[in-house]
Amino acid sequence: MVGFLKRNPLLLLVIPLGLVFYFVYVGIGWNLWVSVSDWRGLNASYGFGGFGAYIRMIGDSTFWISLRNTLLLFTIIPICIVLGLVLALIMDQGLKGTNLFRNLFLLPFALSFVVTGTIWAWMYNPSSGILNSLLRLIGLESLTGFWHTSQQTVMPSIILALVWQFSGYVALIFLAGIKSVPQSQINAARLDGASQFKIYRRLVLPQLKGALTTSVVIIAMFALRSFDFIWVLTGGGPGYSSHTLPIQMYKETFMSSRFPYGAAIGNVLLVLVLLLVMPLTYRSYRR
Amino acid sequence: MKTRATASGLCGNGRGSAMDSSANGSASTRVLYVLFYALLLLFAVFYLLPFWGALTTSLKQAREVAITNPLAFPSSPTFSPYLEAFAQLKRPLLNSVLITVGGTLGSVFLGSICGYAFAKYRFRYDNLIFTLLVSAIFLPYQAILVPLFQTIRALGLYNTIPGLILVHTAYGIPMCALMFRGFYGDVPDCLIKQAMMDGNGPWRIYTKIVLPSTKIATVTVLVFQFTSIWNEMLFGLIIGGPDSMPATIALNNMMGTLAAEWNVQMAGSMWLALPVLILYIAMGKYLIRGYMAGAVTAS
Amino acid sequence: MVSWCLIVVLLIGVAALPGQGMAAQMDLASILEDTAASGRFDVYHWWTAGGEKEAIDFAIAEFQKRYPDLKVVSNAIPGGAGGAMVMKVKVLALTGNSPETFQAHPGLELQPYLDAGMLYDLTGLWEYANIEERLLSGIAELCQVDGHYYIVPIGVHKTNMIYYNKRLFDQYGITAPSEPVTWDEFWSLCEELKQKLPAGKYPLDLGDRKGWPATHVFETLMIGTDPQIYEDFINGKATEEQVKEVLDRFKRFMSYVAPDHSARLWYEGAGRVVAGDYAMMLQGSWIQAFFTSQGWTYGEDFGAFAAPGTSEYFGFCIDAFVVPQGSRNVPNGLRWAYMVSDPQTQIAFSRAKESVSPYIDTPEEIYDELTRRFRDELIDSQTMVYPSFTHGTSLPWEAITDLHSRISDFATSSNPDTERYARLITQALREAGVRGEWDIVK
Repeated sequence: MVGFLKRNPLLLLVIPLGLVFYFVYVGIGWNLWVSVSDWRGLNASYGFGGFGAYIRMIGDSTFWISLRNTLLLFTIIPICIVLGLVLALIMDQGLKGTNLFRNLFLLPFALSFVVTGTIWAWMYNPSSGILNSLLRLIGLESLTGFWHTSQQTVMPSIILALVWQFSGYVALIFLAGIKSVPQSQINAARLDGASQFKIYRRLVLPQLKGALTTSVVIIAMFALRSFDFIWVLTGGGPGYSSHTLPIQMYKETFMSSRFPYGAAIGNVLLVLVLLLVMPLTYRSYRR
Repeated sequence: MKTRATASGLCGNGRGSAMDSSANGSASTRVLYVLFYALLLLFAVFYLLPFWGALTTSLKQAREVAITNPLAFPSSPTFSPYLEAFAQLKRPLLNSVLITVGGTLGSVFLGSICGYAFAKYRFRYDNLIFTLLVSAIFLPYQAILVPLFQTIRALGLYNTIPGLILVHTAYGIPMCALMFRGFYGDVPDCLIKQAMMDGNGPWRIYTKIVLPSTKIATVTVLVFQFTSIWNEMLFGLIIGGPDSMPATIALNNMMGTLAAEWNVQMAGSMWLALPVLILYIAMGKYLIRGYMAGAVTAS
Repeated sequence: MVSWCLIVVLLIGVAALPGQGMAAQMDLASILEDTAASGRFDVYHWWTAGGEKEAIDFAIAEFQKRYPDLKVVSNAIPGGAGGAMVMKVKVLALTGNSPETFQAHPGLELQPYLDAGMLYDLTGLWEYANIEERLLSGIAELCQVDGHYYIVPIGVHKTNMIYYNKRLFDQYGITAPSEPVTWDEFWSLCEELKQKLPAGKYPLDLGDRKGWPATHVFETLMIGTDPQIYEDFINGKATEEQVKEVLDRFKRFMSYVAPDHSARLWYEGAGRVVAGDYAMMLQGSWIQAFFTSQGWTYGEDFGAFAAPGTSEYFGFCIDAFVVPQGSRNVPNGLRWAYMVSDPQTQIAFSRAKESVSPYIDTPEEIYDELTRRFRDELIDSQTMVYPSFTHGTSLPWEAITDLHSRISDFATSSNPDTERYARLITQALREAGVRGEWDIVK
């Protein structure tokens, strides 16, 4: 067998490609079928059971809340991009200690959502948490709030925490984009008497399209897959107010044993990825 | 490859900073400098505040947590929350180590084979297959959780560490393959041609030439995968169980028990963050390179 | 090439699980009397709060007196009855890898396990340990399914009590109401507390970070509003108007609750009652063990009264254990189930847990004043018991998970539309196909 493999090494590809084919593409097909199957309870059943799961969705107010919250997470994108760009531009000024700051800004992104979710739960704890204590300390008592424990403020609280976690990474992507602008172009512009501001606006920013797309895709993917952080911080609560599609999918499937409905929600997420994210990546692949 | 250009730019051998050639020490520049530093410091506070609060709380006794300001450093720091948290997380941390090491080695090895094949060989439908492979990076896992759950149950791998290793390997391959294809593309073709003319087969070329000349790339992907798998929670929740739960799940479960007050939870968070922090400090360059390579999927 | 084999297995595709054959009924006597049995096995439960943990440790110690070579591994499943870990146990049981025994509530909670043919029939064990005759009245009926027993009760808690911080009442000159407490008296008590307590302190807390405490309050207010509504509710017949009536009271109740109630778990809320931040909490009697663990004594530090309108009623929450037949070692599960009903275990466990022992032969001297009162109520034929649906006995699993979400959504809304939630709640029962035949109102 080893000799055979030596002569036909491409056969080794069968293992990784087989794994991916099975766990991704067979899985997608299988899941499509589950969503219309007659599976009830814990034991699988694969007879055709109609489109009840999708019909249920239309009348299920929780589903619409989850969908709304999932899309609401997209507001992280513009915030992170503005913040990331500002940070990247400052970090491009060659100030002493830039590397240290860069590492600090990126730190949240390196850590698990479970860690950051736990820490933010303490951060937001209304009675004795970090944020409210800090606000009281600096005399801004009026700004203290219930954060993730109130239906009104839970989504903004989640978004703020996620901006904290992602903006450093976006800054890093933009910084790399800025640094990849060839020095010769900048020197030429400078020789023509362009100001620093003009160089950024006319020369550097237009070349950051790639970095912009990257950031959008990465955060959009996160928004559509958002599970860990929200699960740890709020579990989807209070009530349904921070349910996202992944959270609802998990609860319907693995807590209420509604496998077809959970599968259907998963399929909606897949469609959202195909509609909202893949077009962005497809264009860049063709280049 | 763009990946390389951007990553190496960050690692110091790209072009210099904008200010390098224009800094002339004028008053307005100095004002700008102060402003920039002020902004950087402000943001540093924003990014560090939660960590500071977590650190101070993790060093306090439960009683002290209740009566002191969470931002105040404890008057007499104690490590007992760390011992307490470790006692609760011991087994899950070990599980996490096994799962992460297994999943990292599996996905990096298999992804590296893919990356090599797609970087250096042309075969029928190679573009199509590669596109399908890389598209898997964008899979929302919720769309395959039910089949995954069924598969793992049927294989008898539910609530086992090999089950989690298998899953992390399978879903890690696309990203590793993409990163490796970028890195291997930089290995000069002439080197490979030369080796071929010397009568070496592809397998030999891969092990004797490609792997040794891309050590940095391999370390980059290893570090990237290690942190991704270590940090992961969803798979552990779906197919892990009491005997195999990774530390992420155990930390989350601590929030539901009285035995874990906030100081213990924060200490537990620190335990979980520790390996990543060590990697971050010791191998930050590689980690950043990995993030950039990971980011290149879209650009 | 292990990977190759793996691929082959994977590509063949994966069908349904292999069915679990019925494990043959074993020779009980030889299993239970084999006190030299050795090995280790898992017990799953959700007792993680102060006092509860000690209670299960006492039960384990008693077990080990009889079976010294059998090591019991105690696994606390956080999240309680509604948590996702319960699902984990179900799945493990279906794959033949389940723990040898786990905690459950009798009644409809067992239905999914029974449908899957997963539970070992303990009828023989009931006979062997003479459980049926030893139980307080009303309990055996709840445990029975088609003439068989699949569960062994370990303790009973009363669910419809309101606990209050006595020192706080004294400090602000508030007299605790004398039972029976009417709704008017309760509302004026809340009103008085609201007036007299300083800013930052509140009359009530909920502790509903995990949804069930909100459902618990909802069910208690329901029986207090009208037992007929409760009966109709668990029989799947309650109308939207009936549910709205309960929700209107719940809404008023919530106006006295600390606004960040959903930031805490039930015992964190109880901890704040101990700290004097909140005056009262409507909880099951398991809160007493927590109070004790905080150094509190009934009558001195805290008092309790039956929730308004419920003084003649006793909300039943029965903790019990089942033995899955697909576990790694069924005999060890049987030994555990047997020891659960053991008089010595009952004494050690009930004392620490402050639950009422379901068994007649447990001496009443072991109880503190309040728990003894509950035991007397249980024995009193005038007391009307009702099975809690929050805790799994009287509504099916799917209905309860939906109820938890909808009611917790209600409880955390700032100005909920009771009509809308009444519709959502009745809809949840309809969708789950709730059709009970309970008879609560005598």
